[in-house]
Amino acid sequence: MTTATTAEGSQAAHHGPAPGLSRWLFTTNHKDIGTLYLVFSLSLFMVGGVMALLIRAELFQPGLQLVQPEFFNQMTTMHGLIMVFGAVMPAFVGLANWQVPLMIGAPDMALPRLNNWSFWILPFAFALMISTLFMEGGAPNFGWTFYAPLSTTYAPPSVTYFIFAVHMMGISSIMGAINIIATILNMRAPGMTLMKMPLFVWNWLITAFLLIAVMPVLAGVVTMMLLDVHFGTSFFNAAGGGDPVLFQHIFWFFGHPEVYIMILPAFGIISQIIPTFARKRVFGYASMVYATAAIAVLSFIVWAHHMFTVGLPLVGELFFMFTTMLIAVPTGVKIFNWVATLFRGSMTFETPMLFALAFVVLFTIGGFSGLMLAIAPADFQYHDTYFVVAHFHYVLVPGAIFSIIAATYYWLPKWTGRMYNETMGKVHFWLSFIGVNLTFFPMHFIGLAGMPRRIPDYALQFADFNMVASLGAFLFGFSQLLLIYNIVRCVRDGRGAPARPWDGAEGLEWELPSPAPYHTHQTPPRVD
Amino acid sequence: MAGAQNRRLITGLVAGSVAMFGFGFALVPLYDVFCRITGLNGKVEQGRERVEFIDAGRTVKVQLISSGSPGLRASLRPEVPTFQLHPGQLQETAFVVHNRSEEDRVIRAVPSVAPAEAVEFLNKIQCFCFEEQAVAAGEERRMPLAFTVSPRLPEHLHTLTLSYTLYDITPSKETGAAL
Amino acid sequence: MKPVHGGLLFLAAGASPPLLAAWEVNLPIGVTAISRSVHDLHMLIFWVCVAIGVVLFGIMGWALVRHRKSKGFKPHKFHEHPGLEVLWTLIPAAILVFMAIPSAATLIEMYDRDEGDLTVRITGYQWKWRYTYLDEEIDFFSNLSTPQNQINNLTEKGDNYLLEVDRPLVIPAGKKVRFLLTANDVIHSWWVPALAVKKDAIPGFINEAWTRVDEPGIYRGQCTELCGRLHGFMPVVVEVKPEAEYQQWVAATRAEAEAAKSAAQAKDWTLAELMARGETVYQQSCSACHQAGGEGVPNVFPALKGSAVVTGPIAEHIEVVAFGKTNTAMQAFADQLGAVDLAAVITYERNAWGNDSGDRVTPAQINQALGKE
Repeated sequence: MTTATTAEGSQAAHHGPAPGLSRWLFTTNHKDIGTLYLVFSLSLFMVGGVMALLIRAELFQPGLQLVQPEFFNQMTTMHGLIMVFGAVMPAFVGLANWQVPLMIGAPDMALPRLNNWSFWILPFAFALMISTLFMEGGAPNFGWTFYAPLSTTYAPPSVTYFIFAVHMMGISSIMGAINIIATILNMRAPGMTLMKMPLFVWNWLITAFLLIAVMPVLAGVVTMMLLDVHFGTSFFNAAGGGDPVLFQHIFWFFGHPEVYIMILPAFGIISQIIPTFARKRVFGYASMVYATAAIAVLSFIVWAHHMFTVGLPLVGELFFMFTTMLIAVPTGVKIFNWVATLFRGSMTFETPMLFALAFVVLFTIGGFSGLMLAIAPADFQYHDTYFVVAHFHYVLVPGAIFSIIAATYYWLPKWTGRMYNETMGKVHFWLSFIGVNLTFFPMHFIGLAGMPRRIPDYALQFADFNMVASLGAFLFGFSQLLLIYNIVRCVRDGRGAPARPWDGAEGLEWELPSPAPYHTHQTPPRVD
Repeated sequence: MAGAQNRRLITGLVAGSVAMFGFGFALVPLYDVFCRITGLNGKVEQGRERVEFIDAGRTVKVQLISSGSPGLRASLRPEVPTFQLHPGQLQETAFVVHNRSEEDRVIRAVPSVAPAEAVEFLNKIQCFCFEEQAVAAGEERRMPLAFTVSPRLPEHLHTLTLSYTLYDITPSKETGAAL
Repeated sequence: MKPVHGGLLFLAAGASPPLLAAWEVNLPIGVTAISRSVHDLHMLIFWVCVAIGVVLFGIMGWALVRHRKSKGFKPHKFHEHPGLEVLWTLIPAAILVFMAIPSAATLIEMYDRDEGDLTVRITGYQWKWRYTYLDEEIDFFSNLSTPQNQINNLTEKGDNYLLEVDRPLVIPAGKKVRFLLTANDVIHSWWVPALAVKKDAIPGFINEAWTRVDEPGIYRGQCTELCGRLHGFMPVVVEVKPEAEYQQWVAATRAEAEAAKSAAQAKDWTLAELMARGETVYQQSCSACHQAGGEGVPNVFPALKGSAVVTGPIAEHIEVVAFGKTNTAMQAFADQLGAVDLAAVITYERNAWGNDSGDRVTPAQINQALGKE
């Protein structure tokens, strides 16, 4: 199986990276492309973060101070879209690009040229999307869930550009997913059976299948929007016999698996980091794999729990309530397994471990509020309030984002050959940890007290907690500058890192020197 | 060989994504089937005639209501807003449409039933909503409606509401293609 | 929780929201049987989560403190235990079944289809609610009544800032009220926390919900589905009156509607009268977008000061105000404003801010233009 790839690889081995800009434009090297993805994701994380801070600044006090409502709606929409499609997803793809070949003993991704294209589509997609901010009528203002008919009949003209941008992102994600699946299934080192793969690789494999299953559905739904807006069809327009609720069904058929696309790779990362710093093998490897697979399968039959208030029939409500509650079981298994891994380990608390531990605790809190939201009658009270905002930010920020930060600190020595500044890393962690909780925990309270989401101004009884949340948001936002500074310092003048900077780390990537050479695993390693 | 293996796998994955794109569109008719089975969204089925007995033992209240839509220059109102009738009994009535503008318009009335689970038991034998209607400038017209409530209507349902939302679809006919 | 206590607690909180509810951290218990059982469910699932959290984080915390390398703790070798893994699959599953039963029961209760004592149709508009009482021939719009100056921080904010309307929905206490929800333009969602009623209002379709409030009082909520620019500015206010007072209100409201209808025909309105009334209507219905001075918002909302429509032919001006402009934020006011108000606001726009046309638009002209007699 490996002869062909080795032959290809050894040809390439004679070349180092191309000089200058063309290295990045034309690269087919998985490490370069991984770096591009990660830098791109970090930049958009900052752009989306600035938007979040604008939102929080407006919400600092009741009344309209900084922005008008229509611009506020554009900010909430763009913040959501950029964070989901521009920050979290590309970061995970970047990590997969760097790590999957290193971890399974492959010389590169299976489809290197496709890999280059799937990255380079993204900057154009987001340039198009962000340019809508400067268009007449403004950027999309209908929320990242773009419910029809607000996003069709009542949308600003820029909706067309938004649709094309989503198409481009979708194509990029699908190509990336195909590449990852092909790499994992066809390019593992001899002896590395599926059930010997690191959990990060396993989780990404399942995520990639989810991507292939649902990104085309998203492409389908935006295509229908395009047809409705410009070609006189009536998929979602009641006047022509269509149905706006249909939009929500198709959107969430994509949207719920999408939620897991943003968290399964995070599970994988945490399952790598915790054993390393607990100096103990991950507990229940097989049940971890099965739990991930179960979550992925269940994600296809829970979508309407986002729609409890649209007027589903009773049987529908009951069905989606029960299936949603069911997801808590495999998710619980994962959390219990992580705690069992920690138990009787020999722990140290370097920055990646701190972020991983915070992930376990805070993601679990996000899981608890998720369980509460699953209870349909209670969801009638929670739906579309800040309680929901608190819930999904708990799973996405200290969930997905913390895992990405943890992964960055964890593998940075391997990527750069240098150590980051541990003290600064710890300061970054504690500021982020406090900031995240200050921002998002009070949102539970204002949600329960009755504040709807996506409003630029609010009644006076929500004022105090909103002020706390805004302060927290600025703390969290600005402390990310420490991360950037730490990465830059590390790349420039960090002290040299050994091949295995973490004494408890296991896996093929740690057998390689640090920094990992431009071409690795030219001769496939043997795995016993 | 990795090459052949890759090709086969990638062909499969690409086919899978294309199929899922198609599946997105297939959800449109699937959803209609799903609505019909579950009564989701109060979507109303087009006239089905059924011979059923009259259940004189109970009475059901049927409310007729209508709503407008943006840009509408016409109004729609039921001749009689409420009926008390026995399940199985054929009820004939009408809505009155009034074109208040100075132009000929084409309108469509979109029906919806509440509660949603009653949809399959409210049979419309004759309805102006089955097709779009041309209304001349200033015209006021009676549009007949005939319906029955099935005797199979579950016992716990007592009130059914049949709602029509009136849309002016004239502009979309003229300019829809040009957009 | 006894119903009476629940109601009192909420009333106490609702009476002076800025003081008591400022640090409110929990769901209100509400004032209906449904809202109380929803609150019970909420507390139950909350405590279940707390219990799981205490056990889980307790064990984790213990490990974090004890099993450290710095304390010389040597790692153990175990890495699987089928029994344990099955156990922590089954226990959560059992807890979920335990939760599912009361949840399903409450849900079934919410889907109760018993006869209602009265039916109110609720129609969502960008950005206001319309309440139509099917059997009482009452039909009105409910707009935000918080002045723009409070929103723009020019004057001090009132107690019910953003949660107050010009005309609340009035319903009788102790009666089952059926709501039929629909929308005119985009999807809205009608929510009153104290009643635990939240239902989407979807254009072209009709949804059903119901409530029975025992405790008279004023209950406030908001639109909870993003519906465009002023989504945050379309509150819901429900006033629950004792049966007798409710009947008085019905009679008074009907009489008022009759009077308004005859006022359009009977009275001959002077320019000054129309201007005075028009200014009030303008501030209420138009100034959120076109701004108090008619200057609009550049590139978003056109200025009315010196605008082609407002200074052009009267018929076209009426057309735009009455029927709106498709695919823009300009709504149709034909249903919301009576002939007198339309005449007044159009007259006002044509004469205010130096537009000075001297035109007087009469209610009769409006009726003619709308095809009403």
